[in-house]
Amino acid sequence: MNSQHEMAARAAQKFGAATIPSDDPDLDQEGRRWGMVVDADLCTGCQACVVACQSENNLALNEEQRVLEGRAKAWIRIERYWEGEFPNAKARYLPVMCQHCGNAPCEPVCPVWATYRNPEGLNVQVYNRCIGTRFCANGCPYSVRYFNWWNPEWPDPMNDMLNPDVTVRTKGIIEKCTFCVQRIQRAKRDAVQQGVELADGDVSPACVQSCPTNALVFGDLNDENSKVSQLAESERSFTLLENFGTDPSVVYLSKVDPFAEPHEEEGH
Amino acid sequence: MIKPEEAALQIKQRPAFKPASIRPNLRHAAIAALAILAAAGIVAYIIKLGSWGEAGRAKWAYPTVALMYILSTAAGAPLVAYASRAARGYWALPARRVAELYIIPATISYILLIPILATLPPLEGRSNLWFNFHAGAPFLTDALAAAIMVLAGVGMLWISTVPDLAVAWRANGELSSWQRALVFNWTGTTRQWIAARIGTKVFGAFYLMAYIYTHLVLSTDLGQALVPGWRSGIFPAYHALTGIQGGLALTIVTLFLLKRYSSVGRFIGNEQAINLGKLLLATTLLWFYFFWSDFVLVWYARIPSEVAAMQLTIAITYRLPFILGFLGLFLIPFVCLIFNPVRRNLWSLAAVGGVTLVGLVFDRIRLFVPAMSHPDPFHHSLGTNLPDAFGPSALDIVFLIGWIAIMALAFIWAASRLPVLGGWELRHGAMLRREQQFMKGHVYVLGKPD
Amino acid sequence: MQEPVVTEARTTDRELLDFVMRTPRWFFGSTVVFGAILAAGFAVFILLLMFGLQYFGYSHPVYWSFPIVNLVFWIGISHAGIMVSAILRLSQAEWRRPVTRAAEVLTIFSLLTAMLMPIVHSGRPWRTLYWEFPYDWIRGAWPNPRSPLVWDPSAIFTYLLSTLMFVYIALLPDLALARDKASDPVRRVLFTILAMGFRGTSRQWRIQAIAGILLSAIILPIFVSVHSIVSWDFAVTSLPGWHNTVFAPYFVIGAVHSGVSAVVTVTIVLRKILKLENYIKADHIDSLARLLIAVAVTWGFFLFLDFGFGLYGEEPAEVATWMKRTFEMPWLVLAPIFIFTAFLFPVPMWLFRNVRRSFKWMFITTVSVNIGMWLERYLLIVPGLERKSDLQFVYGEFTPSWGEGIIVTASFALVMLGVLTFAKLLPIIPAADVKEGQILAEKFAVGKTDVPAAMRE
Repeated sequence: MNSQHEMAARAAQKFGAATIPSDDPDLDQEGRRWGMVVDADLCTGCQACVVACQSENNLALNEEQRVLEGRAKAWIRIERYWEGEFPNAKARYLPVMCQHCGNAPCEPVCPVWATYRNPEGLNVQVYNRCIGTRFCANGCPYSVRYFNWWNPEWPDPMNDMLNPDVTVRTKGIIEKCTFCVQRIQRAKRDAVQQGVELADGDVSPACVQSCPTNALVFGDLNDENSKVSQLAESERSFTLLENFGTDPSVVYLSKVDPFAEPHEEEGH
Repeated sequence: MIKPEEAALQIKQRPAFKPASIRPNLRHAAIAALAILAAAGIVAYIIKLGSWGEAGRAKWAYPTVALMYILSTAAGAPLVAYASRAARGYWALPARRVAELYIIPATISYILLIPILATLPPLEGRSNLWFNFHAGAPFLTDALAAAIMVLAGVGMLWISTVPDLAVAWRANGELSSWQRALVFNWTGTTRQWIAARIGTKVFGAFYLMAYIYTHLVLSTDLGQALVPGWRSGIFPAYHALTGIQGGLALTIVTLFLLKRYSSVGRFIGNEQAINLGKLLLATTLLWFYFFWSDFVLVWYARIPSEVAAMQLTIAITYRLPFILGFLGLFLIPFVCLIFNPVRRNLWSLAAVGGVTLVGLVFDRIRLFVPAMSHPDPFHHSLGTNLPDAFGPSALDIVFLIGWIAIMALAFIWAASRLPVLGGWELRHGAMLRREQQFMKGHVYVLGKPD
Repeated sequence: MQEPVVTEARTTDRELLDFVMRTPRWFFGSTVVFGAILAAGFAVFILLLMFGLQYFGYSHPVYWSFPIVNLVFWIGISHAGIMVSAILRLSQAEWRRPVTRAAEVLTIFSLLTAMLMPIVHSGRPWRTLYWEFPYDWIRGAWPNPRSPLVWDPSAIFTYLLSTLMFVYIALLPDLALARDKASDPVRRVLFTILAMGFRGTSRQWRIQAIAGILLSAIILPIFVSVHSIVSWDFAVTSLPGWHNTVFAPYFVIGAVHSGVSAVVTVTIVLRKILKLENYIKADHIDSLARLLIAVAVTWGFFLFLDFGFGLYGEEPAEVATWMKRTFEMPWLVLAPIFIFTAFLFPVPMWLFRNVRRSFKWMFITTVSVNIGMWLERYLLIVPGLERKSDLQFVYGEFTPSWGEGIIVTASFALVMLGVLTFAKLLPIIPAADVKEGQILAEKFAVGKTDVPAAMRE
């Protein structure tokens, strides 16, 4: 590690800023795999996670015109399905964000290595490196990568209310859910400063924090005692688009419906 | 370089066409050996038919290899004749009939096709080429495709042989009435000549199309469609290509044997070797290209169902036949053929052709044995548990070798009944090719009519 | 079959160099028109640089569109040069002689145009240099060799360089000829430098011939690899409609189909405007049309494989994509137009000898092929991106915008301007090759008829 890098890391530690990724072995632990469990049984489709994500991660407003153009960005989106025929139709919700795949189709196709899997199991996007070929967005079967068609703008006074921990992305690059990596870094630094181990539940991304029914749970999938890994063992668990073999870090728990026909299968 | 007079002489001397001009003891020994093997093959076939139903489809796995091998070599060879006619390749004149005659062994393999098609499971519930149009598929459609191919091939052979047959038979006296009917009362009028030349090309074009179509349906129905999750668009093209490769290799080997052991050898020379060698090299490279196009996408996209199918046929279960096929179809021929001296010499070229023919057996094994021996094709993925490799029994080996012997024997029989060199085409070619002085050297002048 | 070109060598020289030495008035007009279209395209590019890609019709899941369609289309066209030049040179087809140069020049300019397309397409074009060139390796910033987008420029650069060498070697005798005939000092100096002292000694001719044949053989694998790699840009992903193992040969043969058609079109246009009626005869077009029949039928077979084995697995997303690509607007209109213009109309037409020997009809049919082939790439690329996957909230629609329209038009203008400029600077018909053909052409009598013949070593 060169001295410049060290200085930056120290400064980051001092001021609590978490935007600089670090090679510090105290902070980046091999063997960790951040993951999330989404309980479809608890999800009410209230969109609180979407709003929380939008404000945490400095996403521009999805105005009507943007949505009509198909250029709205939502790092987490609620997929809504109808189940059953008209009189008995039921709405089903499935929040979908970047799945941080262990076997990500977006990674090998990037010509400039702007996206890679970091030691903690996150699929990270290096904004500075990205040149906007958008190949990764095509490769992603979940379509959770979004492109910046222009420099983002906010109406007054929102442009003074951005989250300082998160880079505002310029035009011409791809962005996507980071599992709120800024919060992960901050939690790890806090733990180092206080001299304690990072405990399960210390880190929660904005969506997890805001979910009123606790349908989202975040933690280390490789830690056997964490809540996520225990939930992921559930017999209701499945991952999205399993036939692509992407090995996602987001595990879904299927809907339990006592009135449903036995054919129910949300795994697609 | 064949002089017109010499070619004419060749046609008149009927014995020249007969393998009788091969040293008799050698010929008898060869035919006896082949006949024993062929008899064993037929016995094996009868045993398999006799125990119909036991062990089901798996028992016909190696017979499928034999069938697809014959369809890839013997049925591929006539394409060499058609291609050289369509592209006006004069170098191929002595090779055309030799290649064409292989339609006879290809026809005989039809006997194998029928029971194998009968073992196929119903189409419902598995991936197949016929989607929702199940009327008669796959049995009738595949049998029909192969029948059309065989008919077109026989038609091409027949029409291109008519002028030679007429001359050869007439040399032995007047034609009997059935002989006259067989050669369409050939007297060599302008109209008949035009009909013969157009006829060979038209039947050849039909043969090419039917060949491609037959390989498409058979390779899919007997191979791909029986392995859950195996979905490769290039596979039928790959299969047709290896068939052409096998046909070229077979033509080369046959030409070599004829040059070495028969009296027509003096018409066969290094000109054929040079051009067939180039073509074999080209198909070898194309083999790798098609294989790689298939492999790289499965390897890259890592879709579990495709990866499992590839592990079955290439990487894990049938690794050994794949490696042998890879060596025989690509690596050894490629490394040898890039050297000019190897390609220019019929001897060395025939050795490479032999390697290709052996490699092709193993390639067919790795493609069709896993498919025919897989008990349960009614899924869309193999899942994580790959089936075990299905080895050949002694009967299977006898079957395989026996049917290859039957192929050889059928060719020898056909070659003893029909002229093994296309006399009229040789004469035609010789007329259009002259040697002349140009500046300080000698050059060929090639006429290009039409 | 081939009527040999019968003119005195001296007349041949004069007529083929006519456009190089004198400038007709229409040249200025056409240059201005093409230049204006090109300027409009450049203006759009400046807009993109300043304000992002918002002027194109992209939306959320449809991240690739016209520029990539254009990339594939122009790389396809570029396959013509080598198909006509290298393969026909190796197979000693006599009729190639007058059309080789035009095909090679088309290759160069369509390749250059194709290379511009990913730059127009990318989000931050000013950073694309490290896409291919690892100039920043000291800081560990390498290109990713696993990405087809890195294989792509490598293959295209290799192809471009080898094509340039190929063209230059074929040009040498003509450069020497132009040097000898040039009347004004500027041209004389220019051609003297370019001709590298080619005097036509037998040793120089031999080296020139060997280099041509060697490059023909070396260039063939590159030729196949270029479009295969372009096809893998799509096929390596797991998108429905994109992931199909047949893509590589399908793209290559499709490229040859559209490329040879483009050569016919360009040759017919050049023959008309440069008055080359003595050199480009119906025979040449006829032979190219026969070649096209074989190519088109093979292409049709691979099209069937693509379609048949797309549906084969009966995966719902794949089937839905194909249904959309065939039965939903706007594909409901585009798909029949594509199959009609690229196959059903031209191929049966070429079966008629009268059509093959008619410049007007060959012009119409070959232009039709390229309309169809452009649509083919559009039909391949966009519907797959409009995904019919299980996650239905990402279904998209694509509507082209004016920005893309201008870029596509400008790319055509660029290629035409390039070919025209080349024809102005250097002879577009290879004079030396044509004269060689005249010498090698022979005739001899067989029975009662004279058969045209050619000498072979």
